[in-house]
Amino acid sequence: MSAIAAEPAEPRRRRFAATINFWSVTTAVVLLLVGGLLLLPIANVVGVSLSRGAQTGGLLEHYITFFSERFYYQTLLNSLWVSVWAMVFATLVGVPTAYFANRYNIWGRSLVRAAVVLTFVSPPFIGSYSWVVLFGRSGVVTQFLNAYGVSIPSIYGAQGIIFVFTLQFFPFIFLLVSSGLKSIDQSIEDAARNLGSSEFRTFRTAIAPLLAPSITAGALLVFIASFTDLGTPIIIGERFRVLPVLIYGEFVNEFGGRPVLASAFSVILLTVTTGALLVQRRLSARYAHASAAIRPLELREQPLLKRILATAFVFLVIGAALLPIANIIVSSFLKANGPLLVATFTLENYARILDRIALPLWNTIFFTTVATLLCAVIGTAIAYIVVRRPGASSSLLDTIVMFSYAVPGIVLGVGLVVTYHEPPLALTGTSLILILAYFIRRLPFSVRSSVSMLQQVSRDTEDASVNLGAGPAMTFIRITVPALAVAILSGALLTWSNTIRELSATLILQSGDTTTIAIEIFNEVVNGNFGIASALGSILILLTFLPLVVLFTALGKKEEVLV
Amino acid sequence: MKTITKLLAAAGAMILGGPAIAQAPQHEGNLVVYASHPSEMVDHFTKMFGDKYGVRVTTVKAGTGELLNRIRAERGRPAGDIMWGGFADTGASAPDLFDEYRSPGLANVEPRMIDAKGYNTPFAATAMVIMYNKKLVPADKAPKSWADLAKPEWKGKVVHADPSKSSAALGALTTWLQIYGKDDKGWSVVEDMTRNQTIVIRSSLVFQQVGRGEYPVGVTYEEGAFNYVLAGAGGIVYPSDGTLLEPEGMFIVKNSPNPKAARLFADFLISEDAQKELVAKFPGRRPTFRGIKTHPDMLPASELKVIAHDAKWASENRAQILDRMQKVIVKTQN
Repeated sequence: MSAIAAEPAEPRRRRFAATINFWSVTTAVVLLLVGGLLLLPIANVVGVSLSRGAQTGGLLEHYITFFSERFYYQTLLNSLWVSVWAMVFATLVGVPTAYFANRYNIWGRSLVRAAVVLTFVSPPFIGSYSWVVLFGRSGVVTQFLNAYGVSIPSIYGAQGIIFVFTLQFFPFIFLLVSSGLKSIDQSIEDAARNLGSSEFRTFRTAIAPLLAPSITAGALLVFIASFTDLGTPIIIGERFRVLPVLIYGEFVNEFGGRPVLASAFSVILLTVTTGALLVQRRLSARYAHASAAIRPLELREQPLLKRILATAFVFLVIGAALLPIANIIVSSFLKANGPLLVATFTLENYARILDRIALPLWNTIFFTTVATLLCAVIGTAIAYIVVRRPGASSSLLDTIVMFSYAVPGIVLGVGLVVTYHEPPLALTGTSLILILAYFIRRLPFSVRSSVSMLQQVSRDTEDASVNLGAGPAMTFIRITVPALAVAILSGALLTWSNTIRELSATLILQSGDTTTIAIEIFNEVVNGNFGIASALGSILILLTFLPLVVLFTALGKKEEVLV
Repeated sequence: MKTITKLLAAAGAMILGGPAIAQAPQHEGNLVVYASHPSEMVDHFTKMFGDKYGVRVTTVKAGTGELLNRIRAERGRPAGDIMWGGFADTGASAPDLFDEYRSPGLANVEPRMIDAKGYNTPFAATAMVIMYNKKLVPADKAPKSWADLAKPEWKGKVVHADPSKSSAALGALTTWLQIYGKDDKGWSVVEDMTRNQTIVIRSSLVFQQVGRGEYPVGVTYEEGAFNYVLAGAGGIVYPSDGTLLEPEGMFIVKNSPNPKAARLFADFLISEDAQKELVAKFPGRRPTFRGIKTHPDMLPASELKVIAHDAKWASENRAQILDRMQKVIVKTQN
């Protein structure tokens, strides 16, 4: 009897041991990887920033320099100023746009969502420069309006930065609020209206409070994006200096630069973004509520005038946001007279990039694809650990992955250089360091995509598989991964689309052999070849847009996955 | 047998190719060029060189400052062979990063362009100029001298790069100090000029912004401005109080991985072919090869008022100059 009872227990214990081993080892390996690529570089940046100063010998000398010299600390105040106002205006623009586009029968409704997706594919840097081309002191639009005696406020300085950030980042709010509106039940609105509330009052007292989580989440994304943006303020900031420009300036300083000072400034930048992320997580946890509407808010027919006004508002906002992209595409077909573009259409710009686009194009696609595959494999494993194996190391992993949201590209780039320059891990200048940087920066997309799917998939099948004798690795590959296939694929498409445009970390990590399209665009813009930069930019727009088209058509994903 | 074949082949080559093959330059087959010059020119000459000698050239393009940081960071394990950019004394001021090289081709170069310390291969020369936008400033209203830029009428209308981020801007700053005094007197002129200026982070943004009409006036190097002169949008003023006419920099990185190819590239850039190509394709730059003329629209060097540049002073005091300039910027740019 006892012999028979003992028989099956033996393999089960072994399987149990195998489970522990496979996932423990995986957890350890993944922790080591993300720790080495994110925590160690950041720790090194903090370490460098605390180097003893030359003047007082104190560890905090560089921080004291920052906070005692107005030239420096003013950049922090300036950054906060533009980020807060961008957050406010993006909310004021994004909420009504989302409300009209989702509740009113405006004309061209289906176009709106496609157009909002387009705002996400704007190539870095050249998008910002487009605003100068259009609204600068001698900009195309400025001159056109001047000819009719209309003068517009300057695009330069704080007001210009706030304007550009608002248009660039309001889609975060638009998408989150659109998704929030879908989770509100029609009965709430009906009740308020039946009690005699006007539409605005209903919105203010009944709907807006329910949208609070979407709005705060979106607003903080706008804040972080504005706070870390380098391309826009470097071009239109002029005397209005912000923190990322100061860091970049100290890092590229001629004849040596002051890397220690740059590290201290980076830590200050990182502290603010981390704080904002923590606030956002706090708020979203507090607001979390069951969000399934039995009867979602309906689309309402509107009287003609209201319909016209709402349509005009929505398309004015989206049209303005798409101006840089339109400008890039049009400019790519304009003839160049030396450094200036003239109003004649030609394919010359494309012909001129033909013989030198091969290397950067290949690099861009190769790095992006490898990084995306790494994200998909490791991101899915992390999602499994986070959802199925809760515990201390699992929540540590979750926190590290979320933390990578808060790390600006420029800070990650500096950290990786500091950490991986010397043998045995001398990775600077290689393709590998760029791939690893892309991987760690974009990992959250894959993790989040798989986590939300995994939370909906019951673990019964996995348990059955283990009970029938399959090992944990086999179960993960044969059962879990197929169940997550759509989530993994959509996470991968998002990763690809976001990675291909990466500029800020690449600027610091690339070497000639590892140049990318984004780098080529940056170089052409600063050298004044706007036509060539636009041709490269148009190619990048296409490469960014295509995977998104697959995502939204073939996979039927909603635009909300973008944020 | 093998030896005989080799000998025969060698003899055949001697007969067919003559001395050309016997003297075919030796190189490693690869070359890595770090360049802060505009991409088009860098690509043009590296391709010409690669095709001519069968060398595979890779380029890293970035600002001079970034590239120097990079070379310094890679000191233990250099990845680049050539630093193409910066001012003539960049090499001599960093002997820990660069090697001396005196190309045989220097025999044909204007003597005043030659680096006494032997680090630079002077492939082109450039002057610091005042550039103005023709639409915004009539030619007769443009500033005539550096001193004019300190006048109140130009407040907020002058764009200039940060000298700690641009070797061209540093060149302008040392010029002003040499004209107006290296002491407090000169610095007070600099302070007055800086108060009128908007300081940008890249030297190429200066001629771009003036050329596009975003600023009426800028302080920049001749070549950047000259492209806009040819396009009809910009004008150049050679300041009446004097300007700097200096060779541009090209240096060989210390312990470079491909030293033979690097020296070959230096020889190539100051060869007659390359110098003629420079004037034909990139007319904004002044050739250094004796007897090759500049573009007809460009004022010949003999008609410029050039200051006697004290390169030794400039490179020895660079750190203090940048430090003091930083204080001026902090004071005037809030």
